[in-house]
Amino acid sequence: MREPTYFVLASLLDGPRHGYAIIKRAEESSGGRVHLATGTLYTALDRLVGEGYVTLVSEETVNGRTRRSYGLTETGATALRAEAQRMAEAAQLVTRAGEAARVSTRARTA
Amino acid sequence: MNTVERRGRRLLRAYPAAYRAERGDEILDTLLESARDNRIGRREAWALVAGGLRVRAGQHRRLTTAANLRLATLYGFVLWIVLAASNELWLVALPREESNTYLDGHLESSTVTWNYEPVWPLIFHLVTGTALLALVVAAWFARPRIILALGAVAAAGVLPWHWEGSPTMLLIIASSVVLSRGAARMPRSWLWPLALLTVGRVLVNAWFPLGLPMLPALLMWIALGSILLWTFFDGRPLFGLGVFVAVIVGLSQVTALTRPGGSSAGPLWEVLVVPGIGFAFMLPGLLRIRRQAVL
Repeated sequence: MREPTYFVLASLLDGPRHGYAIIKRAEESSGGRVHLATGTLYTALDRLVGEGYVTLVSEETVNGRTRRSYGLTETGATALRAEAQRMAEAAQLVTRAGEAARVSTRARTA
Repeated sequence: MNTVERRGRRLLRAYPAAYRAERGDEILDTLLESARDNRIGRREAWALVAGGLRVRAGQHRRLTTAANLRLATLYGFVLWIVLAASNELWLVALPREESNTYLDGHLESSTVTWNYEPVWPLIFHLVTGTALLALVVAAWFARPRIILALGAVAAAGVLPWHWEGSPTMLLIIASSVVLSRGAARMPRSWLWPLALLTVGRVLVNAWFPLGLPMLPALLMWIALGSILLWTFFDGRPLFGLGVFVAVIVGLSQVTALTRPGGSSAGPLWEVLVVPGIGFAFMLPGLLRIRRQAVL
């Protein structure tokens, strides 16, 4: 799963959001690191809707333009949790190795 | 409508009209909300254009690598069929009596439209998926020849086919029919290189005597260049081009080498050059296709 896709899914964890709200939420939750461009967001949303990870929840007209809100489906939530788990396990490989290296260095210097 | 909205609407033209009608307002709404300092930045503008081109390339729907490879290979076969068929397409433009006279006179030395006319409805069906359009094209040609029967006759060596490609053609068409089974279709954006190649090829045959030798070559280079550039968004046409060069041209060379009664091919290493070029096209296409399958 690509990073923008991951953050789009993660931004829908606490409820449905429309396009700009997804962009803002992804930026906040990544500490400002991920700023989704509009074109990138809609390509990701189209693919996620196609995969059944995200669904259209509501549609309203604001300033004469259509505004659609999207929500996470059960399949999407499962896929997101699986990806988070995969990344956590991958990160643990490094943090455990770092910890072991520190212990071994301490043992040598003692 | 202010300046930002006008620019946003201009950028949205990168998307296909049908998609724009469905999603344009929604995308514009998000774009205007994200427009910082009331302007659309360069990064935002490029992402929007790239997003539009990705939709045109069919990348807004995820396909598995296998499905993408199936379509890409099919495109390679269609490239071959189009090039072969357009070789004689200019005859269609002639009045029927004249083209018949031409056909009668050249049947012994040319593969002419006999081989390729029935292929055009198939191409339309493979590329557009529109059965009605295929039927209209079939009615246009209105000659009750069945390609499989011709191919079988050619393969049996009954007719004096001068070119060793006829059995290859039968094989390619049968493979295309098998590969075209599936829900996913080729995006319409893939038609442009085919159209340019067709026009270039027809001009080569029909207008070459008029002294325009550069134009067909230019059209073909534009078609090849557009396939290469398109790889930035979609690696499938480049992979298809690689299949066309490596498998089909390579196969024709091997056929020429091995058929009884002579060989037009040179030493073995020369035979391997063309497939090598084909594989050189296929590799970057394949790498791009693998990335396309990631969500």
